[in-house]
Amino acid sequence: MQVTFNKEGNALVVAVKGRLDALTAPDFESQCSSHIEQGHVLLVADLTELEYISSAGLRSILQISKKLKQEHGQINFCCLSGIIQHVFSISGFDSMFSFHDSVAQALLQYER
Amino acid sequence: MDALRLPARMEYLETFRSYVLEKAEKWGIDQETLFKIELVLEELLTNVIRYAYVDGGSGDVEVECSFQRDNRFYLSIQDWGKPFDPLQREDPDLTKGVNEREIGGLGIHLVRQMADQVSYNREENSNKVHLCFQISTVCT
Repeated sequence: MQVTFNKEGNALVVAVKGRLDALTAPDFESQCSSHIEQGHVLLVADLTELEYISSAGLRSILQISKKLKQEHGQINFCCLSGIIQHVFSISGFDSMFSFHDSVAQALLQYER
Repeated sequence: MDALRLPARMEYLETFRSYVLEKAEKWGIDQETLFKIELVLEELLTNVIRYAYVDGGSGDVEVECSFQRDNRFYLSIQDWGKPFDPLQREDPDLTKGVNEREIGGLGIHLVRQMADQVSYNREENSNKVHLCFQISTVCT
């Protein structure tokens, strides 16, 4: 798993590549947490290159999201492949978050 | 049926994963079903690794898989830890918002959603979960 952070205006784009599973999710969570602690509280998760996610990955997203709420921040998602979208959906995540077709569309949500 | 038995430890997760996926790929199972098999395997193995032997130290976990002529992929996961029936576990409340949503319980929910059949039996001090995946497309 590889995570790349890119600042875009007032938001931070988090691109995740590879797998979010029991082995990699803790690292993903701690990398995001440290950015949140530095004051980045508007996140866009770009999942274009996410190949696999398990409940461990979903849990890390939920934890990050709870942390963001405390900081009055938010996370939204873009570019999920079919099967990843399916996992989000059967986990009830589709009603908790907003999903977009591109990073640009996801960023529009945060424009002031 | 082929089987692989190893200590129930996180460091062997990858070994189990390769063991099952290499077989499934060899049998020509499509990408979507491979994803489901992989997910179910990870959820059940991490459950065993985290909870099965908490009271009595360490123990093994055994994974078996086979592909039958009826286009079904069978997977079973056995451990010798404390009794745990994943079918009895209550589903998490999926309608709750971010703040109210509990962190646990999703793994077993995903298992029940992803596999076409799940059954459990407790036999001779072991837990055995049987799963079946109906294969729609076999790539040759």
